[in-house]
Amino acid sequence: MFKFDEQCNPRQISLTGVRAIVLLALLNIKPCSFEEIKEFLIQSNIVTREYSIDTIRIDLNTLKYIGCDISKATKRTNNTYILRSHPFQLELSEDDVNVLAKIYKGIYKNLGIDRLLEYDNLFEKLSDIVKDEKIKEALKGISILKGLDKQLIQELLSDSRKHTRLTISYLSGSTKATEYDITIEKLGFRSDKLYIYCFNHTINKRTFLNFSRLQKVLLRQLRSENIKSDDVIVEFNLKNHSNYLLEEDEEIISKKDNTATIRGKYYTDFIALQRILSFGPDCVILSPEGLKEQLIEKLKSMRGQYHG
Amino acid sequence: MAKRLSKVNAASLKVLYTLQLLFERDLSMPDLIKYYELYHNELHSNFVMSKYINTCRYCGIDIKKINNKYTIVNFPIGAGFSSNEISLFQELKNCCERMKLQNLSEKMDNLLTKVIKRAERPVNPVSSAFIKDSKIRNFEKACLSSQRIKIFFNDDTAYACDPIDITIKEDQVILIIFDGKDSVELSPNDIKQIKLLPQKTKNVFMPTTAVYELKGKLAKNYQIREHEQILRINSNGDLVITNKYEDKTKLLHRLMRYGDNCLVVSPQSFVNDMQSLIDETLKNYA
Repeated sequence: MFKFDEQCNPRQISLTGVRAIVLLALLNIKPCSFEEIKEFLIQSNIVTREYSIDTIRIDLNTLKYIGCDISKATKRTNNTYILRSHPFQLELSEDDVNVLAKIYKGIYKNLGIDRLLEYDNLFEKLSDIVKDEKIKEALKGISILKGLDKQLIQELLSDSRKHTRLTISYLSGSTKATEYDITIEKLGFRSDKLYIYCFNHTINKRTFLNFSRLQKVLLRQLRSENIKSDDVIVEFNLKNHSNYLLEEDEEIISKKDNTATIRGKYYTDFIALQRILSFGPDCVILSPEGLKEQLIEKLKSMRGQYHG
Repeated sequence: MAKRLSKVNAASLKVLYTLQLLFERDLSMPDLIKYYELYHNELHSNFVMSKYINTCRYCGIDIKKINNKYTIVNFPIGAGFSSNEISLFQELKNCCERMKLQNLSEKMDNLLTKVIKRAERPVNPVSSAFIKDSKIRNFEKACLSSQRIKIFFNDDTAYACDPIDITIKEDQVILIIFDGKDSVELSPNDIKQIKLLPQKTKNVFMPTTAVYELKGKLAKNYQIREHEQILRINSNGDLVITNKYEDKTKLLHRLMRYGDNCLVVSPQSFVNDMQSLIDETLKNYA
């Protein structure tokens, strides 16, 4: 609630000025009726019992004069005055929003989902504050979580911490919904899309599911599930390794000239293969043999698409 | 709608005007008096102005004298920002400083100053860091003034080019230039020095447009990126994408990731380079 600075010398303040600021602050907290305003001002020793509805109208007019948008107290507003906007609100320019977006987009990949949810709430709050519709829209468009069900994200985060076994309805094809029994290990982004990294009991292997294709959680089992699933470990030589940014689960185990031997841990074979392919000819898989064969097959299939 | 002056409280109005002036900028007492007279055609004494400032302070508005200027440190009216929300703004500001981005950092300082005035609890004023790295500072400056630059690399090579933009990718600063043919992404770590040339950029940045087809599951789940546009969606759901501004080497390596779900269509030089990438990779296992 409102706090007065009692250390100020009462002779050096304007009581009518105090009334205007207090009125602004009160209406900013919530819509108030004349009686509520009067009661608060009396309790705060700012006005006497004689404070009339005419005086409050003058005070409200003063606030409106400097640019406050305040509704009349009518039956429709439950006899309360509603402050819609005021000139001391935070104003953001298009440039401010561009700066926020530029920096956020540069760092979001290194942030956890919890932190991304906090940013999402912040951008939402800012878009509620600003008045300009274009800037509102621009703010709503910054978050990588835009358009996603935040409540569901939070629930799934909690499920991943507890290793809850879930039955979900998932759109695997274009229209066909499939039921899967899963235990979520983590949530994370790949190519700007939110994925659920989980052990899929229905197909008995690790998989990652596109969050936006999750239709519904049909069942949450109360007991937590202990799952045993291993990362795919790949060792490879990487030429010109300084040209590449290593991922969190990749470590250099030795280096010779311009080539590094790297051990990487990946969630699935598919993710490992994509990563290795992205290095192009700079990378040679040392192990496992199975992945090397998959890679050769994939490369032959890719080459087959081009003639000549 | 603005009300007639006769129906308002003049004394309240003066306090609110003073508050508005201090909201716009930090002011010394003489400047406050000067601006008040300029905007509201009324000259007040120091004593009266101090009274208005004290009235605001009495209401909990934290106005401090910093460097002889009255400064609103905290304004507890309006949507207050929690310490956690302030920490998010600070995280963004720190990121600019860590990456030595002077221009963005200054803009974040201004934004943070506006925000912390509205903190739920008083926060220390923003301190600006002076960024010493001249290469990034010069590059930012060249982008803003559309000036050509000469880049001196660590391997003792150098060339003149047009700066396009500066971006942040996965916590790393990337300098984007136009080499006369395509846009190229450079890491500041590979650069020794950047000099501004006394020439304007040619403003003829016409990079090659790459066209590629994405198929199957990838097409269904694909998230269009910053530089991409969908040219066509085939009847089977495959996507034909155009991409103008992405660094060629980075783009081809990214497309390699998609395996046989991606086919580079044009220009022929990109198709040839993709084929060479695949052939060279296959040779590693011959």
